[in-house]
Amino acid sequence: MSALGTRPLLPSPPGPDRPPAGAQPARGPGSGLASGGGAAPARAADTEGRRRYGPTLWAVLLLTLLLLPFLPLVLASFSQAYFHPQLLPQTWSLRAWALVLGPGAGTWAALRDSVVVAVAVTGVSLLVAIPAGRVLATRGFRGRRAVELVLLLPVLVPGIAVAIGLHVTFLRLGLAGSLPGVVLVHLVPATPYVVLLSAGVFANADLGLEAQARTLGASPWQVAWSVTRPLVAPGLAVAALFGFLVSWGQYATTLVVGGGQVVTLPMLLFASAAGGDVAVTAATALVHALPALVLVVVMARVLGRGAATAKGAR
Amino acid sequence: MAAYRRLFADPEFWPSVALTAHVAVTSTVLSVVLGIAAALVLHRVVIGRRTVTALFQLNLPIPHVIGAVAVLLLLGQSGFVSRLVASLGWTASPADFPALLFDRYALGVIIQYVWKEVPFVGVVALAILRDTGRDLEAAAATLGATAWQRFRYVTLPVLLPGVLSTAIIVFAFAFGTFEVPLLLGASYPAVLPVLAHQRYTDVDLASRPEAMALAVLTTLIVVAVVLTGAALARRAIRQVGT
Amino acid sequence: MKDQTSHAGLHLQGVTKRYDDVVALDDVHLDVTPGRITALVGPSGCGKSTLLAIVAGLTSPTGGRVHLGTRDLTDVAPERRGVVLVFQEQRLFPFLTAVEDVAFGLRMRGVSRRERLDRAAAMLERVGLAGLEHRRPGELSGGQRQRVALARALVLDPEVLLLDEPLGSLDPHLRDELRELVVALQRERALTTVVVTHDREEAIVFGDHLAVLLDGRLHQHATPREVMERPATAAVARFMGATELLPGRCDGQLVHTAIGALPVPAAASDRVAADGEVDVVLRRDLLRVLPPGASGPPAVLDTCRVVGTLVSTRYLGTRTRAEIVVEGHELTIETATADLARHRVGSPVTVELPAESVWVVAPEPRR
Repeated sequence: MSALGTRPLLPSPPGPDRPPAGAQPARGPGSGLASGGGAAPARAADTEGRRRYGPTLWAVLLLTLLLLPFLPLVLASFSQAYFHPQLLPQTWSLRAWALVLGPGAGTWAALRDSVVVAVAVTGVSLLVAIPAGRVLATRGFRGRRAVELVLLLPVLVPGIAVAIGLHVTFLRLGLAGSLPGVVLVHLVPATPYVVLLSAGVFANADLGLEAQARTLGASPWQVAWSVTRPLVAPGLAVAALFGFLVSWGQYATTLVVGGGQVVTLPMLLFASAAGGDVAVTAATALVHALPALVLVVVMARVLGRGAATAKGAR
Repeated sequence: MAAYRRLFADPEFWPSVALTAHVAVTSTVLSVVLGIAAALVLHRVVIGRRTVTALFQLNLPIPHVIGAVAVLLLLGQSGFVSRLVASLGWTASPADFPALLFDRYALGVIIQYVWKEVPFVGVVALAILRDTGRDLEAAAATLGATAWQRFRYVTLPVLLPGVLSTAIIVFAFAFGTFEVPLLLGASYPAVLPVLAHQRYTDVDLASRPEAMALAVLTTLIVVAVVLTGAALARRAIRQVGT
Repeated sequence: MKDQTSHAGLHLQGVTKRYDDVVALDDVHLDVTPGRITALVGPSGCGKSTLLAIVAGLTSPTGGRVHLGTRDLTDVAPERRGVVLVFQEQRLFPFLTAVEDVAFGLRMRGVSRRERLDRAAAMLERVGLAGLEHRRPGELSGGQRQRVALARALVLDPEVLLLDEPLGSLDPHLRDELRELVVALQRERALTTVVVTHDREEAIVFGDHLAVLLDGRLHQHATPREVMERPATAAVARFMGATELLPGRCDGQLVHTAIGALPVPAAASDRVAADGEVDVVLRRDLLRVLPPGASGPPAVLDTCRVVGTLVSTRYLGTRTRAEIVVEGHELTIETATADLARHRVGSPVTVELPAESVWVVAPEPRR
């Protein structure tokens, strides 16, 4: 037993009222006084200190396997000649990139079309999703289960079935082979995700804050702008991102309904893959991948920062 | 109706159904098992936890077509892995490397699906583990459960409902996707979505109704499996009580 | 009744826990009395739950050892310790019914299905939940869940039972019921039990012994009466409440304080340091206010009287809290309402301090 400080405490004698059954509590008082010590987190971590590196190593192995497919893609895109059995290109060159990003390849047009379609799909689905999601989350109406299931169906129906199914109708409506037609058909797989995610956002948001704002004198418009919007904006941004990504990656629907007249990046990519130039295909694939990746990373940063400031405000 | 009858008699049809089912089931099972395993590993990571978790989700926003192209370059007979193996001296020429793509068992397709869906399943499982997993595991430990017992009797039951729902989505996707088998799979037998497209774009316009029928059938199968799966999942979720 | 000496004692030696530069537990030595309930009490966040986690094996101490009898548990995995921890939030398994949950530990030990379910059902009945065996946690109330968690631990007949704030989430009337149940069950089995609580009233009622943990250090480990009447440190006195603290200087038999000279209790003479600086602890409930105009010497020896001005009163029912300024120092006392009936705010009052109301402790560092 340590005795810190200059005032050692001696154990107190056993109380006269409790029967001295069992061992005395006489041994046991703690050490002397000194300042220091602070509040401790109540939750105990488990087995920290031991075996810290093992899981990380496994995780690195897992990640290597997951990220491996990107490697030949990047390598091939920078190659001139890249034949078996070379692991690295025999000749490095920017030829493929120059071709892909140059005027003749049609990449920029495809990029533009992909962006336009994806943005349009995102916008329209949000317009539907925000009110629909709010209703789904806040009102428990009969048949809500059924509605949720119906909403899920477009996700489950195979893209090719959607495309084939709608194509004939679109032909009659004159929408086939047009950009709006493609936008409409992309809405089929995209909207359910956006709606369900928005519903989730509204379900998790503390909407009682709206009532609070009203009692503080805010009009419904002010409430929507100053209270609801900051509350749900981050989550809705994620929902929008999902919608964007769904449209960004669509192939079957664009192929059938677009009829080859609407050329988005996936269309370009497939056409390139059918040809023989591996480097160009790789470069096109990367052009297709990068915006999606960048968007997700930017989102994560922005949302992360937003969450931090929200915590601070509390 | 005639189209359906023609379809059932078509020698390409039934092998296609079998292949599609095989691809979907195998991909789903592999994705779930590996996804849970990945989540367990990530759950235990201490050093570099945030980086590792972020990198794990990297291929989620990547469109499937890109993944397919990447797998093409990776696993083709003159692909990257083949070259790795050749540099070890195990094979000499591209033809020595096994044909993983365009093969009868659609291995390349399955690998691509698993590659994309393991992070999907993994992220869901990880969220569940972080939410309730730790607390219940600690409770089980003080009740005398060894590490294996904790996994078998606590972790798995807790993961089950969420992972089940995810598995349904994975199945539906693996059954109905068109892009990846088009790029990585054989054309005979082709999976149902590819077969539908073939018929739809066939010069012989008489194939159109068959294509429609195929589209409908594929959808019906997916929806049927999903609904049964969802009913099972709902029962499992109710049992968990949340 | 079970032979108490058959239970091994739980000993904590020099247990320290550091998180980066936060010291959660600082050199804690504690010998938990076997077969008894020890209430580990302290304000929220002072390390009590951490201590339980260390004893249960869910976290390792930065320093120190944990012994159960002759076994050194410090490096033993939690599932092999024979120590069961009942968590504050119960942590029932959502995918099991109540009886399956209670049977969980038995199942881990390989007990046959029929036997473990029988024993679990019997335990559920013992805790008053007969008929609820097939409910799931979501279908049980908070109090019922707490009982299931208790049954789950007790059915394993552990060597040590740890309870983390078992009554915290319950309504007041449920608290009494559950506490009675825990005490009854503990007595039946003479189970070494440690209960963590931040509620000092609860600790006093619950515990056969109190261990007062403040700022990660163990200040006192004694019976509740000891802790109340003879606190080991000023911090303990302040935490347990109902006391006044004044600085003072000892000089032989007397201690000189701002309100006057008071007798030093003989039992506390060993606490006085060389320079005589102490903190005087006054038990509020033992201080009396004399009726106005009372005269004559005190009836009992060693009773002091001081005179002050009544500044304010607060009615508490049968007792009244009064603030009295004595020699510039404000004293808060609680006394029978009747005693104050004839005093007016602003008038002089005489406060009587019997010898047993005075205690001294080592002074806290002066600021």
